[in-house]
Amino acid sequence: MAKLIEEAIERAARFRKLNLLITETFDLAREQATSAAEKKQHVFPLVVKDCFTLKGVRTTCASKMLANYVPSYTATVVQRLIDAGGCVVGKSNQDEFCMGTSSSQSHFGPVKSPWTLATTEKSARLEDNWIIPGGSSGGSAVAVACGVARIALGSDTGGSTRNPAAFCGVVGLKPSYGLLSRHGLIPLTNSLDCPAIFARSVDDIDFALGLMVGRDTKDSTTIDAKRESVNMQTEKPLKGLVVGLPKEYRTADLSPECWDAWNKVAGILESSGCQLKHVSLPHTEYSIVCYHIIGECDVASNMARYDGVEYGFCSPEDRSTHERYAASRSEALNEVVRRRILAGNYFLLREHYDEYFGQALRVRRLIAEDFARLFRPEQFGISSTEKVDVLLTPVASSTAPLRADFERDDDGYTRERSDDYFTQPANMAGVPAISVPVTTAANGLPVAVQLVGDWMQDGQMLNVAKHIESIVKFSLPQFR
Amino acid sequence: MMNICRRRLVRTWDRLLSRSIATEKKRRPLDERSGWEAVIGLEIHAQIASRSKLFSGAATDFDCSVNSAVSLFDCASPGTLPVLNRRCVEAAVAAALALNCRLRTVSSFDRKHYFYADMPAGYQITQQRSPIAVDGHLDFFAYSADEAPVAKRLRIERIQIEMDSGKTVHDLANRRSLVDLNRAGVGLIEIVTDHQLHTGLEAACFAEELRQVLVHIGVCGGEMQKGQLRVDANVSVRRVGEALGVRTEVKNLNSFKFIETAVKYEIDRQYRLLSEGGQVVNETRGYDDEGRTVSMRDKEVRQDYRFMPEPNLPPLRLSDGPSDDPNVVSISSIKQTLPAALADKRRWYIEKIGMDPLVAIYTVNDTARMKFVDDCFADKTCPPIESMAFWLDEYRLALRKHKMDFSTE
Repeated sequence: MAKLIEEAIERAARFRKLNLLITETFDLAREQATSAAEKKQHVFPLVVKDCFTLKGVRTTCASKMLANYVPSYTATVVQRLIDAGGCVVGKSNQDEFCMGTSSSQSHFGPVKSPWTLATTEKSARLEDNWIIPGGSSGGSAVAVACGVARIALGSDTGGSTRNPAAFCGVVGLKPSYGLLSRHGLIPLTNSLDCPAIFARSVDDIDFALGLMVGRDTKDSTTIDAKRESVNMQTEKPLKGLVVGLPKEYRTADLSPECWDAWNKVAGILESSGCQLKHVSLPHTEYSIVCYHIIGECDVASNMARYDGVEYGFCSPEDRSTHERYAASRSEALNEVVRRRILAGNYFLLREHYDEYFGQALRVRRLIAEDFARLFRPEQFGISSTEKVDVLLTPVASSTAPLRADFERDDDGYTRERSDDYFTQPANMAGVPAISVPVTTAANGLPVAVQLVGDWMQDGQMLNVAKHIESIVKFSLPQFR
Repeated sequence: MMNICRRRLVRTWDRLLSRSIATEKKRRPLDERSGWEAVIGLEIHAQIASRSKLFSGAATDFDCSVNSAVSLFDCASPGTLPVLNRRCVEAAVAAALALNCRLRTVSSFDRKHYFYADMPAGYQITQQRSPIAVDGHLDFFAYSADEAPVAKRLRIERIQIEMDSGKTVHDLANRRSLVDLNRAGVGLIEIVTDHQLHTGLEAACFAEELRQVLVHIGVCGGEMQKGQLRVDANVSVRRVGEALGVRTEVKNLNSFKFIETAVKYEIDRQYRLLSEGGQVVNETRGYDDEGRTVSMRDKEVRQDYRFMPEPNLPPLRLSDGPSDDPNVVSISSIKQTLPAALADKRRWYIEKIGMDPLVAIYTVNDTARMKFVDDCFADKTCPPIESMAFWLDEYRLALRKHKMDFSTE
C-alpha cells in the first residue's frame, strides 16, 4: 500500500520539469501512509493547492508575501482527506493568490502542462513555449494528469479548477457553494470561492467529495446537505432527464473543436434517453463584469491584512508605519494582485459604492435567478414542465494555448475574460459545475464539456458526468 | 434641620461627582440668553462581559500577559473565518431592551477598512448598514452641586455589535510602536445617541446612567479605567435656531470627570473661535490631563472606510417569540431574564416613598446602599422619610470612620 505513495513520490520527482509543486512533502506523505496503514485505511496520494493551509508546512499562495509563511493549523477539507487515508505528496503551484488562468503568475515560476510533450503543435517546447495548463489551480491539474496524485485539491472562484481540468484532460468539480468548508482556504472572493476537486474519473471525484462534505462550525457559510442529493446515485436512470443547452454559450470565438465536442456530447445524452432543450440565460453577458467588480472589491479587502506585521514579508523600510506597509505590499504582491486591490478600493469608495458594487450585487441576483428559473421554474410562477435538470455547455473557447499565444494579449484581461466566460456564471449563482474531458483535438490537446446543476443537487450532475465518461472513454496518455 | 441635611448631602455629592464642578463657574458659558447653544451627541463603546471574543474562542481575560489571548483569527491569519459568539448577541439584545430600542429581527455585518497596526486584518467587522437595534431612549437626571436634579430623556439612534481593536503603545524614544492584540476581537456594543445634550454635565450624567444600566443587566463590567466603557463626544456650537455647526469628535473619554471637563473645554474653545469670526475644523481631538482638548494630527485627512458587507457571516436573525431552534436567539426569552430597571426603583423612591430626588439618585447609584435602604424600610423601627437623608449621611460617615461601607453586614 505504501507502494502507491512511493510511486507517486517517484513521479513527482520525475516531473519536476513541469514545476507543478511549490513544496514537496514526501516525508510527510510517508508518515501519513504509515499511520493510515496502522488504522487499516486505504491510502491515496493527494496533492493540495498552495492556498490551503497545512500545519507545519509553508503555505505560500505562490506569492513572495507568504514565501516563508508556515501556518499552525490545517484546512478542514485537507484534514478530512488526510483522516481518511490521504497522503500529501506536495503543495501545488498556482497563479499568485489564485488570480489568473495560466498558472504562470507565480513567484515560484510557471507551471507547464505535460501535454507539451504530447501535442502535435510544432512550436511547443518545454523550455520556453510550453502548453499552458490553465489556472489558477494548474499545479493540481497537472499532478492528477501525471499520476502524481489520485486526488488533488484546487479552488474555484471563476473557473480556477474547471479551466485547468479542461486544458489538462482531467475531471474537475466545483461543488455547490456552502457544501465544503473554506476554513483554511486563503480567500480570493469569499462569496464565490469553493474548494474544488481534480481526479481522473468521476468515481474518484465522488469519493473525495463524500470524504469532505459536512457543515464546519468554523465556517459560517457551510450547511449540511442531504447526502442523497450530493453524492452520485448511478442507479437512477438518465431516461427523461432534461438537458438544457444555453444559447448564450455559443460565442463567436468558440473554436470548432469545442463546438464539435459540445454537439457530440449532446448527441450522446439524447441517445441515452435524455431530452435536449434549447434554453436561455439572458444575463450571461453581464456576468463577467460583475464577477470582476465583486472579485476586486473582495481582493482589496482580503489583501488588507498583508502588511508584514503579524506574518509574511516585511520590508526593511522604517521611515514610518505606513511607508513600511506600502513598501512591503508593493514589493511582495505581484502586479495582477496590486491592480485588483486598487480597482477594488476605487469601487468601494463611498461615492462609487452603489454605482459599482451595489449594482454588481443586484445584477448578480439576476444571474442567479437565470439558473434558478430553469432548475426550479415553479418558484417563478412558470410551469414545471419547463424544468431543466442539468445544463450542458463548453468549458473553454479553445484547447490549451501555447505560452507565446497566451502572452500576446497586451493587458492580460482580454484572454482571461474569454477564458472565464463559460465558467464564472456558475460561481456567481453558487451552483455546482463539472468539467469532463471528452476527446482530443487535431492538435492532440484535450477538449472537455461542462455540466451545471442546481444548488445542492451535485449528485444528479455527477450521474450525468459519469455516464458521459463511460461513453466517450477518454484516456490520458502516459506522460514521460 | 433639612437645610443642614441637604447641604451635607450636597457636599458629599459634590465630592463624588467631580472636583472640577466645585471650581466651575456658576453660570454656564452658553445658554439661551447669550443666543448660542452647544449640541452634543455621544458614541459609547461598551465591552461585552463574555468569556470569549466576538468572533473567536480566545479568552477576554484583561489581566493576562501581553499577546497571550490571541487566536489565529484575531491576528488575521490567512484562511481563518469569523464565527459569531451567541453570548455577545444575547448581551446586545439585553442592552437594546434595557434602552427601549426597537430590535431588528434581521441585521447584518460589514467590514470597515482602515490600516492600523492594532487592526491586523486591515478592517473591523461592525454593523454599519443594518444594526441590531434602533430608535431607543434613556431617561436620566442631570444633577450637580448647583442645581436640583432635572429629569431628561436622550434618544438613542442605534445600537450595533462590533469588534474591538488591539492596543498600541507608541515608544517614540525608540522610534517604535508596540502592539498588544489581547483586546483585538473582544465584543463591543456601540451605542450612538442623538445630539440632544447641551452641556458637559449632561453628557457626564447621561454616561453615568448608561453605565449603570449596562452593569445592572450584566452586559458590561463598566470599569472605565480598564477601558471597559469608552465615550466619544461629538461637539458643535451654533446660534440658536440656525443650522448645526461643524462638529469635532473628542475621543476615548474614560472617566466622568473627563467627559464633563473636556466637553466643556471644547464648547468654550469652539464658542471663542466662532464668536471671533474663526471656523471650527471637523477633526478628531484627544485631551490632556487637565481636560483640555488637543488636535490629533494624524486624523486630519477625511477617512473613507470603504464599507463592504462581511461575506463570511450570514444575516443575524432574531426571533420575537420563543424558538424551538437552539441556534436562534429569542427576544422574549431575553426580556424575561432582565432584572427590574434601576430607573423604576428610583421613581418608586421618589414617588411612592417621597424621597428627595438627589437622595434617590445617590441611593440607586450604589447597590450596597440601596440594599441597606430597602432593609431599613422593611424594618418598622425605620425613622420617618424626612430625616432619612440626615440619618443616612450620619451613618455613612460613621461607617467610613470605622473603615466599613454599606456592604458589610
